[in-house]
Amino acid sequence: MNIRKKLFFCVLLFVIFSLWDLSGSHVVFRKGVSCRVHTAWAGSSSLVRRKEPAAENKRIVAPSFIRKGINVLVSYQRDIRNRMAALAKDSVSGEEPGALLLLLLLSFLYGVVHAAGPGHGKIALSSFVMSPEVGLAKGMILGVVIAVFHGFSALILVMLSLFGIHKFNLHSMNSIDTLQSVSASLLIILGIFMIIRLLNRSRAEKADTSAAVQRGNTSSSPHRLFALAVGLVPCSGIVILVLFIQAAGLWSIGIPLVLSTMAGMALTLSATGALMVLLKRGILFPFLSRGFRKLPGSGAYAVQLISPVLLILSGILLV
Amino acid sequence: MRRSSFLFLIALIIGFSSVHCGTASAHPHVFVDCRLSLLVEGDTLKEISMEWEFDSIFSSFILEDYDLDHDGTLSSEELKAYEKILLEELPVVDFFSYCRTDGKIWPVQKVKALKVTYEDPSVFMKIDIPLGVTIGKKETIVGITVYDIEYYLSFRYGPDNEVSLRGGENLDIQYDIVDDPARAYYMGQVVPEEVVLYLKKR
Repeated sequence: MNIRKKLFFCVLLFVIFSLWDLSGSHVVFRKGVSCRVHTAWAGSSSLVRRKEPAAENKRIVAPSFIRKGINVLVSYQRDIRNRMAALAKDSVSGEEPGALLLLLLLSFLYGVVHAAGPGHGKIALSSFVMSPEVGLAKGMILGVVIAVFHGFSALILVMLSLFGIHKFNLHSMNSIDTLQSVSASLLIILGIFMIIRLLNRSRAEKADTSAAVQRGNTSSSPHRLFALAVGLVPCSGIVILVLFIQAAGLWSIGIPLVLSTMAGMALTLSATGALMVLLKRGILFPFLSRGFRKLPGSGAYAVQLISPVLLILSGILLV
Repeated sequence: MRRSSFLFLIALIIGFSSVHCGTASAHPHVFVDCRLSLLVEGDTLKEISMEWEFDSIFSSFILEDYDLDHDGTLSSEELKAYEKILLEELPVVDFFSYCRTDGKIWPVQKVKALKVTYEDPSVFMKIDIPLGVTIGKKETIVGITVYDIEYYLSFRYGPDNEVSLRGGENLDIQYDIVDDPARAYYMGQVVPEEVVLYLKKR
């Protein structure tokens, strides 16, 4: 492992542990925001809580670490959102110096945490970077490009609403699902296209005509199409943020807030891309190369098939 | 790209898109803190009041929609307008709440009262669920779960004073909050919590 990789691993571990550690201190975010007894409950007395052993479960559920991870992320989002709403007022009134800076930091954190939750194309990105053509830098750049498309797609959607072209509010959030279906369809088609391209290249190499090989190698790269297909789905976090900016009349600080959130999302998605590339290089490909050793020639193509097949499967999952 | 290929591509997109089941998009959008209060009269658990505290950002959306005089708060008329909408919309989704009595789970389709209040920065909603469960010497178990299967809303109990009691001096009442994996949703990734009440006569 060279120095760049070591450095990257350190940064990645730092981010993961920072987030994990914050999970225990989320009360700080909540302080003064929702930790209060509502007056409607006056006159009630509190009850004793007792602990019973967990009931036996026969239903298939996600592993405990995934469920707990989602819970932590959701809890963070809730606390960050509450804190952001409180800070937004202070930063506009200018009563509290430094409120804007803290708000920008929180919106960046919101982007990090929101993108780490369900959705945001992480499955598709992980599938795509399994391609041998995608290296560490490309995996990270793809994450950033997806985050930018994802954010601007949301921004455009809400802007259309502001200009009266398409009425959009939180209740019409489900319309995002339509774009999600189109995006998933594009992923399936992209996967099919990649398989066809691979077969063509294989045929060209068998025919051993240098022109055909050349044509196969220089066919247009699907990276941009992939990023566009995934980023096409508007980010619900950005949609909510822009709707909040509109509701609270925070236009003066709206653009820095959105950009800060998008930067946070870019960090999470590029870290996902990089992590998957490292897993591919460190674990998956060495394992597969041992498995396919007995299949000379076709082994390389089998490895190249992983990405498009996973991409098709992720498209099917998301449709 | 040839015209026929282009048309084929469009047909594929429409074809795949029409098989939509909407599974793994980015959720949730609204965060709700829940608190319960039990009303006991004599030996009967008369009703469970459930209070929802919406997150500050969603509360600001409600304020934007219903604060018609733009005074930055919600008057009783404005709150009533929102209550009316909630009374129309929430029964369709069973108030996202499910009770368990006598070992049977039943959706909450009717409530005795629904009241909305606003305390800057949060909107609160309180519903009273009629129960009428008689408590004897043998332990009675009552459960209540609140969750949105589409994961548009995320509910949690607490974070403080999650269960309180009005009345019931001659009863022994305890509670626990447990995961209910049998009702896991969102591809098995989210497990709702159930407040389980253990009640018996002293």
